[in-house]
Amino acid sequence: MRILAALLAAALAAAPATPARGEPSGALTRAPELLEFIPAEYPPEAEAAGIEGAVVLSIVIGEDGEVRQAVVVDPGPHPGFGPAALHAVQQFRFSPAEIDGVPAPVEITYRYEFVLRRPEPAPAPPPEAPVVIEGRVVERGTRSPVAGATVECQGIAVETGHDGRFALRGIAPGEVIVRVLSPEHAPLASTERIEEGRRREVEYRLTRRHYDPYEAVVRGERTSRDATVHTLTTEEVRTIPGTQGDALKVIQALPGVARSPFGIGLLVVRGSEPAETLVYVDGVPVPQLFHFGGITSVVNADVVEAIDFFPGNFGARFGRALGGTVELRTREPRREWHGAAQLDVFDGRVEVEGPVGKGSAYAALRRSWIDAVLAVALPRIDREAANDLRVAPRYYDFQAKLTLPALGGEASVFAYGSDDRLEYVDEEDRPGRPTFRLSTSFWRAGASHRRPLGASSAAHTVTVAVGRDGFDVVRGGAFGLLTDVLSLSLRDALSVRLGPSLTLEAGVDASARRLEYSVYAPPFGAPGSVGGDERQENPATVGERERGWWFAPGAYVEADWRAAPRLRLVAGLRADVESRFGRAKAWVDPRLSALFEAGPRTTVVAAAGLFGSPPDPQETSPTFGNPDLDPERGLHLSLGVQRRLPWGAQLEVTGFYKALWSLVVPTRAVGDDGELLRYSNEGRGKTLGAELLLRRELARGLYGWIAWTFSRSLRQDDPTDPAYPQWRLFPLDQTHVLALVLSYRLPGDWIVGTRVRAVTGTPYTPAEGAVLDANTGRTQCLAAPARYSRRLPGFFQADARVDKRFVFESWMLSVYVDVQNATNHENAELRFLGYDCTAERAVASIPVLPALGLRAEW
Amino acid sequence: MVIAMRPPLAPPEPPPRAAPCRPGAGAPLALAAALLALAACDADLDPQYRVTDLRLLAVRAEVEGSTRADAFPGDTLALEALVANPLGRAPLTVTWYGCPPRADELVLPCVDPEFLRDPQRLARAATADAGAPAPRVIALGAGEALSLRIPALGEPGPASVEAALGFVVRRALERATYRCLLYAELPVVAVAEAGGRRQLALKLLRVTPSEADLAALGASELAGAYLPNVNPEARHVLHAPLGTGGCAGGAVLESGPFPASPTLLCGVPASGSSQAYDQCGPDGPEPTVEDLDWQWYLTAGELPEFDGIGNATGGSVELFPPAQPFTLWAILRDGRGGETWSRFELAAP
Repeated sequence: MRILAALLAAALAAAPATPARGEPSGALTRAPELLEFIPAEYPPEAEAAGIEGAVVLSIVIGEDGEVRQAVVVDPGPHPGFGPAALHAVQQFRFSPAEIDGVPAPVEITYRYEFVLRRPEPAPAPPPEAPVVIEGRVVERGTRSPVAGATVECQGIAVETGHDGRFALRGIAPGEVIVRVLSPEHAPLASTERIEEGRRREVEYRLTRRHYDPYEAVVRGERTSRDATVHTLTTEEVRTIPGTQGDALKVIQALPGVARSPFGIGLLVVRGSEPAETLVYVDGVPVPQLFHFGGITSVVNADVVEAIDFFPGNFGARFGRALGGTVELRTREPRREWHGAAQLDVFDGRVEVEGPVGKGSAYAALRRSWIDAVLAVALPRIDREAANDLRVAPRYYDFQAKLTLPALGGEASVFAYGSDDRLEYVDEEDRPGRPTFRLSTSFWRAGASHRRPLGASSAAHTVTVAVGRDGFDVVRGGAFGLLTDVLSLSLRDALSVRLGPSLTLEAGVDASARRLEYSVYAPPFGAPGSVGGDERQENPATVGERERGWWFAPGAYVEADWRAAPRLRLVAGLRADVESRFGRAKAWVDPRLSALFEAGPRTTVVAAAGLFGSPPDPQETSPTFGNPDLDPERGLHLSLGVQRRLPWGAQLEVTGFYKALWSLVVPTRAVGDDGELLRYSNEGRGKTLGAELLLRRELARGLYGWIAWTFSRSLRQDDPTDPAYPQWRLFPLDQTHVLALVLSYRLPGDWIVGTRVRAVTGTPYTPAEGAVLDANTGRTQCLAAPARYSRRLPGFFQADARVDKRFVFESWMLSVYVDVQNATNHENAELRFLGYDCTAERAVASIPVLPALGLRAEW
Repeated sequence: MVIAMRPPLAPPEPPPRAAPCRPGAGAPLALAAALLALAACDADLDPQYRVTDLRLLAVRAEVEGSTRADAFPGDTLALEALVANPLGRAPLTVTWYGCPPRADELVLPCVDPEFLRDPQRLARAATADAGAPAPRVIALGAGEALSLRIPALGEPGPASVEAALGFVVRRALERATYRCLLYAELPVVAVAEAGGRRQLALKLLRVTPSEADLAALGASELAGAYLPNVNPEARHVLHAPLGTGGCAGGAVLESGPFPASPTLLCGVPASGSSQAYDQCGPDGPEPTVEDLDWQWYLTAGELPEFDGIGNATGGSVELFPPAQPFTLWAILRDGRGGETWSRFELAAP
């Protein structure tokens, strides 16, 4: 038996990489490819004992493709494997990775497998020998071609090409055995009858060793110049319990993010309001994250390649937010024809993709079926409610993308959108007006182009998108809001490498909107007052209709400078202008971060920066807000340590402080005309906290993290408020947020996982007394002077999930059971008070909630 | 970009009070709302409709010699508090305080939680301000019923509303959308105390300029822009055995013997009780009609549709009467601050 050490895969983990030395930054535009492979020597003891296994290494690849550094992360099952693999890997040569189109160093995780193999393929016969067996090797289930597989017969061996095709020459007639070996697949042996002078056409289907999402794909890790960024690939998060595979929901289990009540889709990042964390899809901001506030995200996770989450101190290319930033990067379409269909408890979805001309494209559509279920079930449960439900809750979303080479670079054309609707009519209400109607929709369509400039020292990326947003909400005669926004957004970035240690990026991040809205509502009373029109059943309302332009141009420049061999400085400057209906405000945000390599595995990161955010649109309404509001401002400070640990683990500890000022808060102040100003910029805030993330990359089937956040977030209201200058807790402040996420891959394409969360209860203001609002007949509880002085009980929830994938010849079926609150722990989400505001009762969160999902892929 | 109106952020509201559990009334507006409603329906809290101790159930304002709830300057308002005292606590006192509008203070003491948490502060403020030219709090008197005269324009007095009316008129002239708000609010607090128990009620009286006042203010063009509110009138309450298809053949409810079996109660407003008036929308005035609603209270018995918490409301309710005598109140509200009520002393035959 001959034994070979075989390079089987470069399985690159998806954890956020420690920034490699000296690299520029930005998005990975080209992954490194292995050009020269050096086989490792199989340790004789392991060989004799018949031991196979894999070694996981962390490799830093230089901008010239050379291996700069290699570290064994997981030494595998035999002590000889690690040194042997390390020695071999250090001699590898790759094609350079490109970031923003520019060759750049990257850090990857490499999986080197030691497999005992039978006969070494004999040298290929002379080419003049006739082809006897030819065909293709594809993967069972996915029908993807298997490149680099060895096809051997009678001692003659060939390798398959990129399309999986092969041709065996010089095979003697008769019954022969063909063996097919591929590093990532189970070996295959097939008996063929060869007839003299006849060519035999075959197709071999190999079974992949593991069909779970952690496929062995060469994938470079995005390097970052941001102080803190957590990157999640969709493949990683798809099987995390309690999320139904929704990538955006997984963010809520990362450090720095507070828990949302009832699991709705609020991103409360480092003590900031949810609206202060913006979400981008391929650089284009989207107005809505989740269908109906939290059922599932509006972008189908199947088209998302990865998510970058910046909890604070993000780079100058992002702005207009005081909290964090989330960027979804959609994946590239595949060149082969594929499709998928999925059903789960809320919706169904279909996807198709394949080659289009010189490029490739995909399209995906998802629609909820809650309305269909209600149409059948509700009449049996409550006929009156069924009659009243004019439009049952329903949502859909779509995504499409075409990628192709163009203009010396790569171009993409994309479109995506979302539509939610719900309408309810109470028979007792007046006819013609819905008791409640909610309609939320948006779409974006655009194009992006990326190309290198000059001799690979610069790159240019531009994204232009148009879109339309609609948001309508009507609550009988008391409140109505109809909006229609046409938008044009532009993101243009030019990255130039000015020297071996300096990279400069400048860009434009701008949008123009044509906004039209109409609204009617009771006028806001002075904050803190009891009673008022807004509580009446038939309130007096005032209305407003506006139509106009809203410009938000922004520009930035950012320098990434290797100031010393172990010190990297990133300095940015961003300027924003906000012009609404002729009123313009401007602000400038300088930002600086420093990354110091304190050791071979340790990086210390410090960052400081100013951040600005325009007021919400409703806050600048002439009738319901204050048009003269200024932008809100914030200072982010952070200091952290990142250290790579053995066994594919990484530890990050970050302390942060955030100071906020010019916050928009309600005011009792009046203007010169005697009118209530409603809002002022007199609010202040501060958040102090620490985050810990211990994360293990996928190795030996285990993947997951522990995230712990400690924070204390405070607010100070307007000086006209009776409580001023009291500092109170931020309404969603949570002192401790602990999340454990674990996922384990078992043989047979099983994945089991759990998510456990333990969180401090959110604060609330107790009631102290009550008064009958004699205009409505309702009792109104009086807030105690000490605001947010009590907390709900702590929250605990354990979720569990099991995934199983069945692989057939040309398609696959995945089944999962996702159980939320598996222990049926009762958590108090909020409290109800009795009519006299003395007795209270907690409202529990979801009980045990199992969900079943099916997904077919071909 | 999504635009959403949001109420003032501060000060924080205390935790919400639960919605009623009546089928269909707790609308499934969203999944979370449905969860909340379900959670509230099994609340082991005392139902709001059952009056077991001293309660202030309503306060009605009506211009003397008229059915108007909104007053013109110079009108005299009759204020009446509906006080339920099933335990007969004594002595029962009802004290009234009023807070004239002030240009320098938007949150008047009568609507300020700081004062309402401790009504003695209202009393102290009224005492301190007695005789002041611009008092913050005025002690209006005591008793379940009270008369309150609104000063006419130009009439000097501590409770002058002239400046406030001048402001709303000026605002309505400048922006048409404020024509639907052509009134000044005069908050009045009733404090009922008996046997160591205290209850508060807040009534926001509306004072609107008459046509003559508008002429005097140079704003005749605003005449008719705001329709003064009129208290609704109840025709009667019907009762019929439950399960007989409604109240169509029911009997008019009167104090006295009452069936011991489950009963359907139906409130019937007098015709013309529902006023047509204008709300101001984005495109100007929009005609609308008052949506009348009934609230039900009783000292014993069950309204099973409202076993959770929240007001027992609706034009018809199911009543499971008790074996012992009980009191039933039916309050008709027009949703704009106008109301009327009926009281029935009932007992099984």
